[in-house]
Amino acid sequence: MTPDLQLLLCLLAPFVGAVVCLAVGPRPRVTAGIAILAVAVSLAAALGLVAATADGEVFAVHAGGWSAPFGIVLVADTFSALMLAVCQLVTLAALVTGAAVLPAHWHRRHFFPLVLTLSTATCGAFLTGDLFNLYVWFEVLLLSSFALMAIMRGREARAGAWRYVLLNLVSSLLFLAAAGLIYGKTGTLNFADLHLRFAGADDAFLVKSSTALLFGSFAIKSALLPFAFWLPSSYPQLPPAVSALFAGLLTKIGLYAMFRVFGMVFGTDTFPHRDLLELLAVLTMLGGVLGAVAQGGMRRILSFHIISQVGYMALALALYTPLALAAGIFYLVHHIVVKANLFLVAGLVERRAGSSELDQTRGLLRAAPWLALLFAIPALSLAGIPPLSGFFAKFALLRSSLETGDTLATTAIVGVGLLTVFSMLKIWRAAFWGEAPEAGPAKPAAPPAIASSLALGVVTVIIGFAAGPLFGLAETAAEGLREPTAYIDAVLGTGNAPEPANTAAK
Amino acid sequence: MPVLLAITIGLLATAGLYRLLGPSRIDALVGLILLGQAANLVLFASGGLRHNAPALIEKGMAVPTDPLPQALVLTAIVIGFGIIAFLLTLVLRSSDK
Amino acid sequence: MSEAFLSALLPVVPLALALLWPGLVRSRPQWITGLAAALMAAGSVAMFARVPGLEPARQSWDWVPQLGVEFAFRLDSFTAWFAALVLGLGACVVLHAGGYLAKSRHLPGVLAALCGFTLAMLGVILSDNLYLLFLFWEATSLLSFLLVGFHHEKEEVREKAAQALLVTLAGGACMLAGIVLTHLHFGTASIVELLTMAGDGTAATLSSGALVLLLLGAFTKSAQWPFHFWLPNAMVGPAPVSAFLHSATMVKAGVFFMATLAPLLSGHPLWTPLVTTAGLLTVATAVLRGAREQDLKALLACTTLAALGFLTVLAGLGTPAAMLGFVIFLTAHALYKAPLFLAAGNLEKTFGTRQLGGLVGAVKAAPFTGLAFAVSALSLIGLAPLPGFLGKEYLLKATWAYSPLLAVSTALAAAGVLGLGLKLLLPLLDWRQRPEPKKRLPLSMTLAALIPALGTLGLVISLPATTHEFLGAAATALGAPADAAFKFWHGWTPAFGLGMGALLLSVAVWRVLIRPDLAPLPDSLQPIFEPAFNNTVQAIRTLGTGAGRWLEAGRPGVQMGIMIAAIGLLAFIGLDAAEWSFPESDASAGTSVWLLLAPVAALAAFLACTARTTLTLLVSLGFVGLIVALLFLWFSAPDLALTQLMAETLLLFLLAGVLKKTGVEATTSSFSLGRALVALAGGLLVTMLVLKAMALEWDHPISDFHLTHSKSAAYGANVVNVILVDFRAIDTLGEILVLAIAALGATAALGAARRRSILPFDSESPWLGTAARGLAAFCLPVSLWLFWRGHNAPGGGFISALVAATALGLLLLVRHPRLDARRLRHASLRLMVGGLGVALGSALLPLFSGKEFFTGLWWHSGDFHLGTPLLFDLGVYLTVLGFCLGFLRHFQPNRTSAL
Repeated sequence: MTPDLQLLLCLLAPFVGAVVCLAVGPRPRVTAGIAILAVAVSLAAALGLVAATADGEVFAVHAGGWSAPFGIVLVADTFSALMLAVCQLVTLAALVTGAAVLPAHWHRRHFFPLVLTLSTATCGAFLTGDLFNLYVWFEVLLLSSFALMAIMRGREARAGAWRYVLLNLVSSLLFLAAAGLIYGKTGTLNFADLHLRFAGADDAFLVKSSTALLFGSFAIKSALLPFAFWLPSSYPQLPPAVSALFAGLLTKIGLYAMFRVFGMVFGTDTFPHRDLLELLAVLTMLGGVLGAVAQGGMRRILSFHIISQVGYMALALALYTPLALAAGIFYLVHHIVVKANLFLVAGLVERRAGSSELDQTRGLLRAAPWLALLFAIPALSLAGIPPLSGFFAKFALLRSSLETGDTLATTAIVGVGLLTVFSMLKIWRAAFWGEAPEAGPAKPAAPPAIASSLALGVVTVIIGFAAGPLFGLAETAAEGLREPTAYIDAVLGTGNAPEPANTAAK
Repeated sequence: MPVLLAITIGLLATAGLYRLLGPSRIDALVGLILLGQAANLVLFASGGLRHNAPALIEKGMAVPTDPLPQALVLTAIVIGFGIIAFLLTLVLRSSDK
Repeated sequence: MSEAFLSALLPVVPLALALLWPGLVRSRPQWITGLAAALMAAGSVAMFARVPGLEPARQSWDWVPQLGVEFAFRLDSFTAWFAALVLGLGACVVLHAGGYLAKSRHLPGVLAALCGFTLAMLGVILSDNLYLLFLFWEATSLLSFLLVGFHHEKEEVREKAAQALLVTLAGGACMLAGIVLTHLHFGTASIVELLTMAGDGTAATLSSGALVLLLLGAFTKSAQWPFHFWLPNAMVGPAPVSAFLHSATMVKAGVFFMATLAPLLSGHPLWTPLVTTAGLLTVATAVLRGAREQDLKALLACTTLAALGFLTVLAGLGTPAAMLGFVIFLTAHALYKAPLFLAAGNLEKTFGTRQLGGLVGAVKAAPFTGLAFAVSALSLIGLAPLPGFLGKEYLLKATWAYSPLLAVSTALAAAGVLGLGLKLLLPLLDWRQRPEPKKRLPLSMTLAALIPALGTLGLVISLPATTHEFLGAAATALGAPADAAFKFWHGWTPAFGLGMGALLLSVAVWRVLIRPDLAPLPDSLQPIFEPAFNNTVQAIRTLGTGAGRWLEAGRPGVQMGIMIAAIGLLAFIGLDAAEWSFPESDASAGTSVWLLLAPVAALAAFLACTARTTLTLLVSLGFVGLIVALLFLWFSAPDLALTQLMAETLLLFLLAGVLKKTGVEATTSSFSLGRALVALAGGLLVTMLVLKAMALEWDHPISDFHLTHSKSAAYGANVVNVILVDFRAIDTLGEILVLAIAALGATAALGAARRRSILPFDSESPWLGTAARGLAAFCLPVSLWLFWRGHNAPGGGFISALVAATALGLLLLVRHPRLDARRLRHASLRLMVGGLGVALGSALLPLFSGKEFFTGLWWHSGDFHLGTPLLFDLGVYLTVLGFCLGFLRHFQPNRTSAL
């Protein structure tokens, strides 16, 4: 199968799956099977893409046969292939868990088609090579998540969902306005073309303020402080299978966009807010982790940690050395797996102990040692303990901050890492240590849920031990962002000059 | 003329923002509607505006207007429509007891 | 080479056994721990056998070459010697644990942790790569956390284990930064390669920050002042755990690390002052703390602290003489501290207490354990010819060679420690009393305590014969002079004098320390670092509570304001007022109409902004929408105008329905200046940006292409529609997906089949019914006509579907009998599925004919063209219609309850 077809398969498998699920109607088992199959196919295609792009080659599909920048291009480079693969993996795990544990009204209210559209939008956002098309995929993503949130019951959950919806819509509007202004400035929306045109942009105010709006939009999506207000009040309300999906994907897609647009499209010279981004990143790291320290429930702690970890990845972008960028990409890959897994484990804890509030849970180490192990792997990885995936992510970032002699960044990386340990320790002390509870499991164990958590744990360990090759991929991806010649060649053709010609024989 | 148009868009944005920052859900909803229109207009205006030159080939116009922003705005209007409609259901639900 | 590493891997066997087959360990605790001990002892012997004449060797495999991380191990006489000690003591500890915890359900866990711990410590010793060393370093921290927290049912235990972990991990994090800096400075992370640079001056230019960071790691791990407080607290673990942690592992990792790098880093001007000071202060604190302790284990912990302090002093000197002293001190301490702790555990089990007062005369009552204890304590005190004596001698010798002042202070500190040793030993030796044993111990526990004590004696006996091959070789490998050896008698040296002096002084110290009426220490000497640590933790919690509340529970309006203000600030940063210029006015735009419309628009916006009743709100919003539509029409965008009009109509219809139900909420609160300011600033920004954007003159290469090729290659005259269904069809595909999801979301939010009586308008008037039916009958054909012409003239899938939906909305208003909720729901879902399917199909069809995704396939008949883009537009039509139905059905009037 050619990489071009794999690219399409990656995007379309969940799309087709969603339509088929809707057509089949409310039959949980069948729709679950279709959804899992669709995402699995997409995952396989994504893995194929990773292999195909591993040496830095870039594949572009010119939709409609219109040459770029006149039509929309779907592009797979190392970065997007990596993100695709890991996101589909997490989606698969969340789907399997969701199919096994979610209450019936979730299935009735289109859980599977909505997850599939979410997955489609994820793939679309990773693959598109067009600014406005990215906006469209963001909207698909957003609405899928809105709709999933709307399934929740209960007053507090609804209030959280409303806040989530509202603040994210502001992000969309900003994106829309920024896309318009950027089109007005450059006359193009294609990433590769924009990169070439931005190099010679002259109107400083328009460029800077429209990129600022775009930055604001992405910052809201990726939950940087002070734009992260939507996250802590909404995520903890979701059932773990869904919050795992959200925690793994949503903010990371915002970060992907930030890396893609500010790391590649606007390139080194025209990205005006690097110092500011660093400040925001540090603020985010610190604010998120401090927020986590004080929380009393596992899901809440984990939600705040998303914010804190996003700060790390944004910091990588702000440093913008080849190593830092590679570290950031590695961090993304690691974080998606680990964070989703932690939420899945929180779900397992709830099934076992009846709650994941720390004052109502104890003694799980003695009562369910396997659960302790399932928790320990992602928690230690999150805290950056070697040889798990998180260590290499943090270490590479630390090294790049030390190389650039950036004391603020170094201090933040080390300090926030410790605070992360602190709050993981809090969970461990309260939920896992202590007298074993007399009561048995609150709900019967769900083997598929355990299996998906275990699978993600194994992936975490593998990422750690295969950090060499994976970091190599991250370096290739980072190189592709900093020096997008291959990307531009694949999209615009080797001449780089947009020839007004229709490639399709019509 | 462009100044007037720009001020109008600015006013829409101001009204939308003021409303958006309000306390109730309806406030936020109305704010989003207004802001959405402002954003559409920003996108529309960025392409450069022409009077009486629609992008229809048949008429044989010498220089039709830039059709691309129009297509984008159309997409944005429809997406905005879908989202606001969805928001309305959320508001409606919150009034259920 | 590789077999040597294999012997270090022997603990893997019991580790795996304990993890995979815990039942076996529980049913045969003595056997399994015995087996584990035997395996480790075998490993220890194998390692010992390698010490003489071992050529330094290194073995490595790639891991993350980009970052300088590799699986690299080294073996020389010193590391082999130390590894042998670790394995040997590990064997004793495991043996002891088998007895100590024989009845515990949790023995498998402890056994696994102990074996893992041994492996981690061996890893620290044998790693060549600094990052690999760090890995094992962190592993020892974590495993010791699990071991210390063994009795985690108690809150106190949890607290103290957590404290130990946090302190050591904090140090570890600093150390990692230090390692990276070291790596960057020297260009290598291999210890072997680093040591080749010893003495060539490279170390002098290492940044002090790097040095401090490295030392923070080592100090926290080895419990050096001011991080010493965690070690005595970590005594809450079971006895074998304490024995292992304190004798050869965990705390030794720090001093090992310092000593290994000492030959290199002592080239840095700050090294020796920093490290020796910390070491001496640690000894001093240990003595002061030990003076107050009456608990046997706590007292032993204080002597450990003191020993670590001395080892740190030696590492701080970094001279060959100091390295010589380091090896013998390390060995002596490992050999006496393990039996002391194990014996303490035995005594506790036997007599049921750890208080010195309850153990008076214990040696007589438990002779074998007592023997082990006495021999080890004497070695601690430094009685010749026990190894402790040698350690003290070489310590003083090395310090004297460096600076007599340092030697004298060391001797004074040593006197204090020896006093502690006497305090420890003398009560137990009391022959006048004899405590009653409460319990008989299993043989293995006594044996475990006795074996290392015998090792102490064995070392003394064999030393003259083997010093060159074993201890000497190890010392040489660490940096002591070539062909180093240890001997008991050096003549009447100053060091000997100081040693004797310290011994004599210690008796005086002991007399002071054991006085029962000892006054409490003055407040200034109370520990301050532990409260500081606790206060920091508390402060973090407080800060966190604030941060969490701010992030989570702030008012949405305020949060939104913060966000918008922040983004506005970001955008305004780029503004340079001096460069500002107003754009030229475009005369061709036809301004006259707009001069009229602009005030209306402003008024409508103002009204929408301040409206407090449902009616004003709807009317003003309607006006805004209308003006926007006019604006689109004026500026050559008929498609947009139509879409805007239709969408606005439907939206207001829905909004009116919602407002009717929730009308109360429409009233806004009173005027707020903050809100107004943020809004005005935002509006200003938008105005400026639009002005700037409109002033730009540029070519439109992309839309030129669209205009040129729309008719010839895509067979459509309405370029906007062609862009939507052909040039940028993926956007449209995403867009109809958005609509479908919104409809699903409405179901998700409102439920599948609940009925609501929320229509804005409810009338039984027959006139209206007829009119609505008539209008609907008119709208439907119009819709089809708009759809058909869409490719060539204003119209297309969206617009036509919205027109159709409006017609259906009208029918709903008059309660058309065929439009019940169930039917609408099914129709909506089918339409959407069908629409999305058709759209997808039109995108996929070209793939089967070997063309790119979404390429239009056309069928021509003269001037008449049919193609997949039209099919795609049909998909759009169906989906949009389905979406509208999906929403409208929620606004179905309730038949049972009249309004």
